[in-house]
Amino acid sequence: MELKPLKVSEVNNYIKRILLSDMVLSNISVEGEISNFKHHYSGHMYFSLKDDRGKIKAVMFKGDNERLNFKLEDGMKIIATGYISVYEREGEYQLYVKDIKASGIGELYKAFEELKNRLEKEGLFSQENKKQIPSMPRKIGVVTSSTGAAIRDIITIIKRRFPPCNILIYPTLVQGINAPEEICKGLEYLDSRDDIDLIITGRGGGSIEELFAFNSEKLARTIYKLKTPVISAVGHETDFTIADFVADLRAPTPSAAAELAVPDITYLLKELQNKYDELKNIMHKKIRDYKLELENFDTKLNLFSPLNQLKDKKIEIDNIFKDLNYIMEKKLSEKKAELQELKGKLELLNPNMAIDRGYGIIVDNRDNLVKSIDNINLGDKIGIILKDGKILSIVDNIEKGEKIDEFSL
Amino acid sequence: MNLAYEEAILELEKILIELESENCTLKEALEKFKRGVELYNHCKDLITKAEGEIKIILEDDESMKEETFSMEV
Repeated sequence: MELKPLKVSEVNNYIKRILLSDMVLSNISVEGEISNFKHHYSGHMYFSLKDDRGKIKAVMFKGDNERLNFKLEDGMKIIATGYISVYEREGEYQLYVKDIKASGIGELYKAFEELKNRLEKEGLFSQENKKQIPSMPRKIGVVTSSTGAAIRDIITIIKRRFPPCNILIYPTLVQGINAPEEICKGLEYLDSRDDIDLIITGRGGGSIEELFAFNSEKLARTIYKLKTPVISAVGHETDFTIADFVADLRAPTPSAAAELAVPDITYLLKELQNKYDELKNIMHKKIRDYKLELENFDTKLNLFSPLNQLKDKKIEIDNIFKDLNYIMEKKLSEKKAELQELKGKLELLNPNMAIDRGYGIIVDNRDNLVKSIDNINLGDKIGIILKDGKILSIVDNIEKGEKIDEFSL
Repeated sequence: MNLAYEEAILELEKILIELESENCTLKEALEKFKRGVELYNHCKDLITKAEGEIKIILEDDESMKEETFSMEV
């Protein structure tokens, strides 16, 4: 019996229906290594999965691969989940991938832990071996990709925070098999220059596979032996790499590395201004103190000045002079009064006064006053002096006795 | 003045402490003050006068050179 021939498309369609109805093939996970990876401009991904004995074609459509949180590349070990069906145009069966897990992650993580422990034991991470990050680097070397966001972030932030800082970029790959080698070369080159104060190396965020370069043992040992301080800046805050542990300072992101690398110029200027103000204030205060001290001295000097003593003495002398004056005046007026009295008395005794009143003064021939009859003899020539002349007479009689009352006028 | 910023700041701080202490003559104080103002101006110049350069190393098999790096790529 001759079979009725089927058309090609009918055969392919039939196979497709069988595959799709198969319990195993319609929902399957396949483990293998990616090869011939192509990310088509349409957004779909085409690749093969292989192991050491076989190969299967695979496709992941745009709508599915957009949800992937890491990049696929050749050599990566994955577990792809989806279904197996037929691409009828080519008569090829292939794996239609809905989701992918990196099957190597467990192994990568194990290797990471093992390396971390080994280097830690060797002392590569020890705090006492960490170099001091300069507080104000004049030139910073950056080892990273020249096209990534990391270098832009670093430059933007350094320029904003501290404009006088120079930056020298050593461009390298930051992922892939050759990346560690290039990064090491860049680090060693910058370290060999004598104008680089600080090195930043790192990259933006990525999957553990993408950060792989920064988990390399060679890179760790290179960073460790550099003379220049290194800040690592790999991925996001949650990503830790071996480079982070061995670097002198770990920054959670490239932006943060830039913040840590240079001081903030506005803060510096403020701090500087404060010091300047303090300097001026201290000096002003000092000069004020000196002035005050000088004024004090002046006051004291005036207080103890001989001029002052002179003034006191003058007052003293004035007082004494006043006293003297007073005493003299008093004495003078006393004497005056005394004199006045004496004058009165004297006037009474003045013979002229008596003569004026009509008394006469008797003198002998030698003009001696005759005060008593005892000094006179009969016949003596005597003179009687009156107010207006002298009477010459001869004593005719002498009567003894006090008869003054009889002569009173 | 050839001092680095940090050295200049340290000296300025030292001067502040010395000026604050009583035992210094007016002449010394004036000299210190003058030095302090010089240090302040030096520090300010160091961080405000110069604009840093951004360069990238370009390397081929033969040679290595530095060129100004521009972010507008």
